[in-house]
Amino acid sequence: MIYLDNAATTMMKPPCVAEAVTAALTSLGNASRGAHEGALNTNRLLYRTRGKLADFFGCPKSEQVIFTNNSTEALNIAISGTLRPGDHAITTVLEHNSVLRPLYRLQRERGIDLSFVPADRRGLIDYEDFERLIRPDTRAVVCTHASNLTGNLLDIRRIGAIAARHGLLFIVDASQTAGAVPIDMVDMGISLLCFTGHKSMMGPQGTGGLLINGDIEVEPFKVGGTGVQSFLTEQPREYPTRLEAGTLNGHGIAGLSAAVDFIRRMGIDAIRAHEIKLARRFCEAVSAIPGVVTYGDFTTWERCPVVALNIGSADSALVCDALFCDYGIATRAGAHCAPLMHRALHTKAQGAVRFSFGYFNTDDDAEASIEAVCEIAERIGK
Amino acid sequence: MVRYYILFENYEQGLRLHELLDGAGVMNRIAPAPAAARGKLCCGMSLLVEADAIDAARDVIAREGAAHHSIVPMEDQLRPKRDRYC
Amino acid sequence: MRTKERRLIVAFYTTHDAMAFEDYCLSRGAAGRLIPLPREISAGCGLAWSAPPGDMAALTALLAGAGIAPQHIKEMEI
Repeated sequence: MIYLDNAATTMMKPPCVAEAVTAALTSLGNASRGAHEGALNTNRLLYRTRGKLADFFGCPKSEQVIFTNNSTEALNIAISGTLRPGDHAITTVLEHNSVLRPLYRLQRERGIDLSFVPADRRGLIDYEDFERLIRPDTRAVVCTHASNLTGNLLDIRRIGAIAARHGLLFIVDASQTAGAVPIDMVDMGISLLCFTGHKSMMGPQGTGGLLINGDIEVEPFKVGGTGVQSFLTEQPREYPTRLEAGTLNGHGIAGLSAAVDFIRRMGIDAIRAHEIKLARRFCEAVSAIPGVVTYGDFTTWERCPVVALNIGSADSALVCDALFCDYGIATRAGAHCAPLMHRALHTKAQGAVRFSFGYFNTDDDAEASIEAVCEIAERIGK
Repeated sequence: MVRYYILFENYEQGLRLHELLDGAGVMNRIAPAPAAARGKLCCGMSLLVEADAIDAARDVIAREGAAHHSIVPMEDQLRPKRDRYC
Repeated sequence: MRTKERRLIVAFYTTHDAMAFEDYCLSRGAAGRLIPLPREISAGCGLAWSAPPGDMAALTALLAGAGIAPQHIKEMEI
């Protein structure tokens, strides 16, 4: 199989990640639940991994690195933990449902008001729209770092500056960019960063985090056992314990820790250059095939290694099915959990086939995919 | 050539019917749900059943009370490829 | 039942502080180890640092160097 669905998850993980998880499966006790070596092994792992992630993302305090199961959990904590009844939040049509659904839920349950920055048919936004949408009751800007459908990057530093000028919280969904694009929370003005471990971080599924930059009060999303202050009837207020209830995914975090080490060793810029090289080769070749339409801004390669396309009027699901069944190429069709992006691109009825390249893809993968798209284009409608 | 896509509200429904159809010897395979057929409620997984097996599939659905969203006929939009991966 | 001995016990507000102090002490070869928090002390974290008795000044200097404010420091028999 040629795996080109890395935007959904990276299927191939570095060997060191698998080794770390395997070792953890026979050596970890439960953190904060005991002082024996088993529990302390896990405490040390969590402590050091928080430090690594704080350094990796430019978060000033490692105790404000909160482990979560994925970006979705981090976003739920960030959004519901900061927005209060009557607040207004600004977001965009590029968002994944992991941002949209928590916001819609607060709209229904807490009466928060939402404004959406629109996008054109290349998935591009006008940054001035953020300023235009700000009101006296605006509390936060919540947006993605990159569209999971087009791969277009947002200028987070620019949006962060707008948010800072107006004293707004800036919550960023880094699902598509963590591990793929350098992120510095302080430099970019990010208040709350939500990331997942299993995409470009190349860590295990079931890992991720919320990083908090500064003195920001985030109310807990779930409460329960913490191993400390057991006689309190409320969740302890200190970070990270405030936002971590229950046993953490220690085995997964061991893998995530190894994944951070791997990215550091290889160099995020080198990883990015490889992925972009493949995506660019693919995009430039398929764009020349009659009937192929690509979606996104390809005037720049400051973007994610994602190419979404359609071939003529063929249903994207049928193209995706043919790519896998006839050529062994794994891609993703459908709505991509990004309903507003599809509406903006006018691809709701047809969907789009998304090719997303990863570190372990090769030049041969790109060439085979080009040939497959070419052949499918010839097979359509005759 | 018309083919039939059985659509579902979630993967659990789809996998259950897939198992039932396989058990009954009715040819079917998992395929992405066509965008044109998929409404708001469908999930991205469908079961693709050829025209000569759809009646048998409907019998299994009725007999087992198998949950599904809808059954949608669609013309195939691609000519077949000679060498197949699966 | 093992013989009780006098130790300098540091209690912490958070587990994060406890782990940070262990890391700091290990990197400097400072004597001591993490133990379960003695029942006589109430603190935010169930781990405590147990150091050799006597040199309170050295221990407080280590804590200051690590940037950690302890919840308690006490010399006691455990």
